[in-house]
Amino acid sequence: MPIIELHWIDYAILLTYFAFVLGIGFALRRSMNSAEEYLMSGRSIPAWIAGLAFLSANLGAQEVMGMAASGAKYGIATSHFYWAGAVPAMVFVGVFMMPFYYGSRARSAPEYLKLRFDEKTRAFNALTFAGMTVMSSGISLYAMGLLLSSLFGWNFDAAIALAAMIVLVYILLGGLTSAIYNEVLQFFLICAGFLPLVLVGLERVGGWSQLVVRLEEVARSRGYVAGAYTQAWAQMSSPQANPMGIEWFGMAMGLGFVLSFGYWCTDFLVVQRAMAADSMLSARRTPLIAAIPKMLFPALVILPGMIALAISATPGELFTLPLKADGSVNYDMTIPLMLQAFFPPGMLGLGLTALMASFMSGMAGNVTAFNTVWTYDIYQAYLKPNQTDGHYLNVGRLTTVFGILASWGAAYAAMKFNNIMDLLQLVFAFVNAPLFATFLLGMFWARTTGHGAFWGLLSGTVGAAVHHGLSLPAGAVAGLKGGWLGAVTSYPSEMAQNFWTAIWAFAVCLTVTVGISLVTRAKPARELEGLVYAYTKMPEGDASLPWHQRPGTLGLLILGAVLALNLLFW
Amino acid sequence: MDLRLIIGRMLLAIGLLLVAATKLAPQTVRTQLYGMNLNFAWGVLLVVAGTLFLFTARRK
Repeated sequence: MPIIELHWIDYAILLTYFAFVLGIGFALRRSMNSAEEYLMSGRSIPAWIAGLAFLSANLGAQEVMGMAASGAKYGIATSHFYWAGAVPAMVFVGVFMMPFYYGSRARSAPEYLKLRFDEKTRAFNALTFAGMTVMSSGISLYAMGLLLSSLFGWNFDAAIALAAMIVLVYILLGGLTSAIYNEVLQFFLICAGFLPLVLVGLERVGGWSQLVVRLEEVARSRGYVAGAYTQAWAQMSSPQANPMGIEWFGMAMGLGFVLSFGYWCTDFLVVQRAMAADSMLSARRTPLIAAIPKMLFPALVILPGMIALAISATPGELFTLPLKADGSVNYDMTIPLMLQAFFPPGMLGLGLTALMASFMSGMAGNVTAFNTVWTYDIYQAYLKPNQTDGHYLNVGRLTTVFGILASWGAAYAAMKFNNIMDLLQLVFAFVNAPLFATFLLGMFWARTTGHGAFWGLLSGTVGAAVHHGLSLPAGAVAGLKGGWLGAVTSYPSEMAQNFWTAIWAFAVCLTVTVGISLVTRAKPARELEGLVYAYTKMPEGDASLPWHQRPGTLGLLILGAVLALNLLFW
Repeated sequence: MDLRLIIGRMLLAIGLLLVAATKLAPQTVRTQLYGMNLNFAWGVLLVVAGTLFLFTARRK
């Protein structure tokens, strides 16, 4: 792929964005006087800001680049990540789970586990989460460096150093509030940068109707029925009928329930944004507000991939998706190719800035979640308890520096893997899927015990490893992609294998947790107030709100809208 | 700090840069969208959006 020459006006747009990002950090630095303000925003963020940050913290490299890549690889079935997965999960966490997170006054998800269960369950979650955030942040940084060096000819080391320094400065100065404010800024920038890409792409292929016609031809030429790339559910009768290689049960259970609910309901990276809200009502509305733009995001991040597939498959068109060294298609280059093909100088600067914003928001989200969990759940809990607030504020700042440096190191470590995105999805199946079973039982079944939760969590993770070790995606060799215990079963794609790994991890965790809980002693009811559904007074006052402000009503409306989208693109 | 002020200023600044790019950046085959200059059309849209944010922020 040829190097793209940037015009000075492109750099001017990028520098303008950097100036605003750093300006927020400097503006907020004087109001960061306590550990709670620095690590938890002092619980003062309005619902609409927390909602957009909740959405934007997830808009990292994997989301923007990965979803476009999946759109090109799997077609509209990728929208299940939103319409069957994220949106219902966001409604669930807003309506049912947030009262426990916010109401328990826990400062983090691991701390909730301590209050609900015991120290060992908290420690297990805090350590796995801290490792996962550093790795995710490093992968985001690595992907950005790789993209900027291959697309614009920038020096790889300089590109990741620049992005890491900017994120470090604004988090160091303004803490979680600065990260949240910048995430909202990044949300608008990502929309402003990618929406014209979709419009230009659609114009190029002749509109939606022509895109469908072109993708039907692509589907037929690859041995599928016509709607394989343009119908979300109709081709889910068997794994062989769609490019994703998954049937409706694996999709609904693996992605729709376990992986999506596991991520959106338990991952502290996103839950932290809602916990920073200024009231219980704002905290409950945070995921619901986020769900509204989220259900429209397939048009912004998946549609470009479908357009790229249609263009790439037409001889003589603007571009062809490049091949990797092993001969497989490099879907990750979908967005860079489209930027190059469709944007003139000026808009190219905006597109590049939007990409930088997505990488930096993903990184900042991970670093702020990491410094809260490290400071409260590891340092304060096990290393130096009973210190002054000022001490923990300084530790929080130092942890920010350490988190950035560790991410920087992880970025270089990620270079050693040949397929980091598959690896990351796998880590989610290992960590988030069993954790969702633990939270689900912990919040809604009072009989669940600390021993049950800990051993269930551990067994679920081992269960995921065993399933991964015994299965292999089609065409892969035993090793990082599975089969390292012996390939007993195979799946048509890595995605299908990940969904089933998540299902196994969830099922094993659920079964072991229930089994051990039944033979061990549960906490008395008085210790479970505010932590378990049966012993928690749900927030009062919903009935006095106008109907459109009630979380339950808003949730139902969102579910209705997402159901309509599923039916529209069935 | 009203975040709408910052969002408004940023969109306004980037929008104005895009409008300026209509004249200052080289014209290429990629410049047109539905017969309009892409930099100009999108720049104006961002200026309008930015102004709306500033307007709502200052009214409070």
